[in-house]
Amino acid sequence: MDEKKLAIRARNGDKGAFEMLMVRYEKSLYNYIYRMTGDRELSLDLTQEAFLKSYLSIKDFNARYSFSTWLWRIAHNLVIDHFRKKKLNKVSFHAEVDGEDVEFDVPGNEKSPYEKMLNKERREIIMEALEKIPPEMKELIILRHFNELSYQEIAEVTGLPFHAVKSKLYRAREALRKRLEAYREAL
Amino acid sequence: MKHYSLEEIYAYLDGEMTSMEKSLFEDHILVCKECASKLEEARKFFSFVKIEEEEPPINISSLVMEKIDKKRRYIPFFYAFLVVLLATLLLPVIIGPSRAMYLYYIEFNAVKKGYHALETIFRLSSLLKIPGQALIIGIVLAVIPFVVIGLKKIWRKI
Repeated sequence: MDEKKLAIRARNGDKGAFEMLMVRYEKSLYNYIYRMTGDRELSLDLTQEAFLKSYLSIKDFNARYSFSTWLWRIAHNLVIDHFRKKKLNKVSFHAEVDGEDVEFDVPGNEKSPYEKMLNKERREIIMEALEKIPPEMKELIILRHFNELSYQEIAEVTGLPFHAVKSKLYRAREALRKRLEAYREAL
Repeated sequence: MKHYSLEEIYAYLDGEMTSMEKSLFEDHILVCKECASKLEEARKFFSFVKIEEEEPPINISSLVMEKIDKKRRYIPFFYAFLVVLLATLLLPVIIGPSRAMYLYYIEFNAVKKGYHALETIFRLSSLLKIPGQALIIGIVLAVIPFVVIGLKKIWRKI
């Protein structure tokens, strides 16, 4: 069933439909929050909070818009609130990335240990580079490259004007590319 | 020949060009080596930056569903608490005036019958206790469900 139908059913009080929506988005929402905060425990809490908030305010959901964008907007606000509360000017991934295990068992992931090692290294390189660019730029990269949101969806989630997304995303990419200069041969 | 900017090339890779823009761009890179190489570089950058998503270490959706169900379970308790509390608070208000009238009647009779003033005060104070007791009983009744829930939680943890 498509997202819109599920969202309408959930808005009409169908708990099962809401659960199906959660199952559909829990992984990517968790990853968005985790990449923004760099804290696994906190990401689990904030993901749950985002889902609970969306459940409690599902009656306000306008079916003309996409449910996922609406959900991401809730998560985006939660992440911003968290940083405001913690008075963090800089978002840090580092501690968690340097943690003992960044790789999880992904069902159906049949990569060789060598490939896994390369992936892990690449992940660390990218996370480190992302840590060095401003959080607003980092969010644009995460939303576009990891969550694969369109420019319109990014505008709705972040509250940026649509025309600004393209140029800001360009600047964010250039900033990231600069940080990844050392790995030029891979680019 | 007009070259495409990197920003435009990114928009192409992001699928953010109109079909007209897209076909013009695709025609252009067939003849422009410079733009074709920029496109290739951008493609490499995109694939390098793309990293796999992690599986959440726990099943988030079922945890949220549990929380939603719990919230629903507590709602009847909450309403029961409100009803009992309101009834309890209203009880003295209802009882109060009738008791006052009754007391006035007793006092009036007592004075008429020539009772001692102390006896009148005693009667008055004992009757005033009734609404107070009703209030205490009501609050205890309202709190009981919450105490039971709390004890259950502690029991589960043990």
